[in-house]
Formats: sequence, structure tokens, C-alpha cells
Amino acid sequence: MSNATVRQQALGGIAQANPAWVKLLGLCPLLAVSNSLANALGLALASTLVLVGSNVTVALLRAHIPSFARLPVFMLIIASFTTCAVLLLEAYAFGLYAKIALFVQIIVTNCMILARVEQFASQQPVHWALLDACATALGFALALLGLGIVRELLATGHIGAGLDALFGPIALGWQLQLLPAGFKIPIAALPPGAFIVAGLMLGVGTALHQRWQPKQPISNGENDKTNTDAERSPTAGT
Amino acid sequence: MKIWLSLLGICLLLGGLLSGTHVLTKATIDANRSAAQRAILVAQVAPQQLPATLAWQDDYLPICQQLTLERLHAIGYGGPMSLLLTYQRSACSTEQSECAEPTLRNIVVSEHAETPGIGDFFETTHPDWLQQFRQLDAKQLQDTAAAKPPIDSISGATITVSALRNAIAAALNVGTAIPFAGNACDPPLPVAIKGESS
Repeated sequence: MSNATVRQQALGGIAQANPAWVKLLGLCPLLAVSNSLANALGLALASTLVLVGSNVTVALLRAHIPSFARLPVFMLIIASFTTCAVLLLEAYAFGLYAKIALFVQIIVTNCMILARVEQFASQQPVHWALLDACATALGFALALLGLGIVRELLATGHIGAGLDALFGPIALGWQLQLLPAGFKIPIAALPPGAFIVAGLMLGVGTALHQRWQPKQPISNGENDKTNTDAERSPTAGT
Repeated sequence: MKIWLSLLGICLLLGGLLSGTHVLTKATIDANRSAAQRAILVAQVAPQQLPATLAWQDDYLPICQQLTLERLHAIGYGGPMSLLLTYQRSACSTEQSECAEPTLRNIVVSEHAETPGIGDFFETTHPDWLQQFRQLDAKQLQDTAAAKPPIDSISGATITVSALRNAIAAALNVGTAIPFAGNACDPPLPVAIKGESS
């Protein structure tokens, strides 16, 4: 597989293979925590730490990980970095930790991370694994932040409240009132609102994607799926 | 043999990573937890009333002649929970033995492991739920299962609600005297708390 192909696969996590909006992975924390920009940013940073740490560690150790035990070892690595993320969050962003700790702890079960480790990092050198982790983390962060901004804006009329829990007192003035003071749709911050807003954003995104995508001849959908999976797989052609 | 050595090496590497992070963050985490606990205590009394060093006597923290804190433990749906009860009594006469009976002034959950947004109803959806206990005395809470005291239930939180109710009922039914400190309160009366008429 050429370097250009690997780079394309690694960078695909930002947009065309976005883990949240395209592959619909990691939706539990995405929907649960994205009720504000501050919460979304906290989870995005924690997910980034776990994803980058796991991908790099697996790529470094891939020659020493026995094939029959690779999944338990991957889970052990992901769980270790998740624990580190929880400890760091509790130490340096305690206010945010009190709000989102549960969902940071379940990063360990996020199939997005296991998928990248299994499909990519375990078969590529460290620099490609790092690039893939950064791109996937950026894609997940964009999805989280987008949903967080829209939900907080709809629910409260402003964005950026509570960022001081992450950045300290300097962030107390970062709250932006973007809608009239009386404007509030409280359900946007509640669990049903997460599904409604995410569904609408997914629909709008899909419609725009279809509008901009050049039209292709209609073919068998099963074959399309198989081809797409094969193209995305780092083992394709090997 | 080589495979098992590889696995052992990976385990040691990850163990080192976790140990290092633990050592790096332990002091800060302990300080954060202490500050959070102290903030909850300060919210129950005037800040100047709370001593620098907290001398808990079992689960009681006598503040002054009129004010005592008690911590309770319960097992909620998500795991162990801690409650903080504030007892208050009117000013004592010159003789300590003529102090009035204490009343329950406030109840808060100080620690819990309930699901955020779902099980932590006492912080989010029903923040005043615990305050209804202030209006009940020990007799009304005796044998909660049989007497069915007029405590509101919370839909979907049966286990936690029962755990809190039973812990508070047990605390109010205990026969031992609630300890108070010998010194007078300064300021004389505690600050007003949320929902309390001044």
C-alpha cells in the first residue's frame, strides 16, 4: 500500500470517514455530554488523549503483541490511557470532572478507539498511527463541539458557559450571548434534545453531502458497501 | 516463553504509566476533594464558624453550642452515598443542661455515585426533595416501611430514594444524644440557607 493511500486513510477520520457523523461510532458519550460547549470540549480532549496514546502505544508494540491476545491487550492499553485521562481531569479540571466523569470513564468502551487501534495502528508504523489518531480525534472533536454549540445555543441562547472549569478564571468572560436573552428551548439540553438535534444535524449534513457529491450510476448497494469497506481497510490489497 | 515475556513487559509498561500518572496527580486530586468537601461544609455554616482542622467525633462535627453537623452513609443505586445533616438548637441557658432539643436544619448529599442527569435528582431535577425531611421529627420517620411517612417518591429512583429515606430515619431514631461544642456560636446564629425563612 502506497504512502499516499495510507495518508488518505489516516486523514479520512476528519471528514469523509468521520467516526461520529459518518460511521456513527461513539454516539453514547457524544449525545450524553454534548449539552454544552464546555462539556463537549472536555470529552473531546479526554478522547484525544486516549486515542493518541492508544494508537501510538499499539503501533510501537505491534511486533510484540501476540495475535491470539491482541484484543485483550488493546483493551488493556485503552483502559490504561482512559484511567490516566480520568486522573488528569480530576486533578486539573475538577469542576468539569464532576460533570462528565462518568462519560470519560466509558471512553474505554468507545468502539471508535478500538476500531482505529485494530484496523490501523496495529498494522502501521508509529507516524501513520499518530496521524490517524490526530485526524480521528479531530473529527470526533468537531462532531462533539458542533453538537455542543448548537445544543447550548438552543437551550440557553448563549455559548461558552462553564469554560472556566477547564481553563480557569481567565475563561469567566468567554460566554457569548448570541440569541436574545429570553430565547430558550430547554429540551435541547436534555437527552431527547440530543437525539433531535443530532438527527437534524445528521440529516442536514447528509443532504449537503449528497448535493455536492457528483452523481454516480446506481449499482448494487451490497457491492458498494463491500468496496467501501475494503477501500477503508488498511489491510486492503495486502 | 517469548510471548509471555512480551505480555509481561506490556503489563509492566502500562503499570508504570498508571503509577506515574497517579503519583503526578495524587496531591492535586486530594486537595481538590478536600476543597470540595469543605465547600459543602461551609455552605451549611458561616465560613468563620468552621474550624481549620475538622475534629470529627465518629460521624459528628460539633461546631458550637447551637450547631452540629452529622455525616450519614447510604448505598444508593450507583453505589455509596454520603449525606450531611445540620442540627440546630436555640441558645442554651447559663447551665449547659438546659439546652433545648435540637432540630434538623438542613440535609444535603455530599458524595454520591449516581448517574449524572438521571440518578442525581437531588442536585438537578428535584433539588429541594431532601428539604421535606426538615419538617418531620423522629416519630414521624419511625418504621418508615410500615408508617409510610409523607415522603415524595421520585420516578425511576426508587432504590436511591429508599436508601436516603432509611438513612435519615435511622439517624433521627438513634437514641444517643447529639453532641454540641461548648463554645458559643460566632456569629450567634448560622447564616440563612436556601429555602429557609429568615
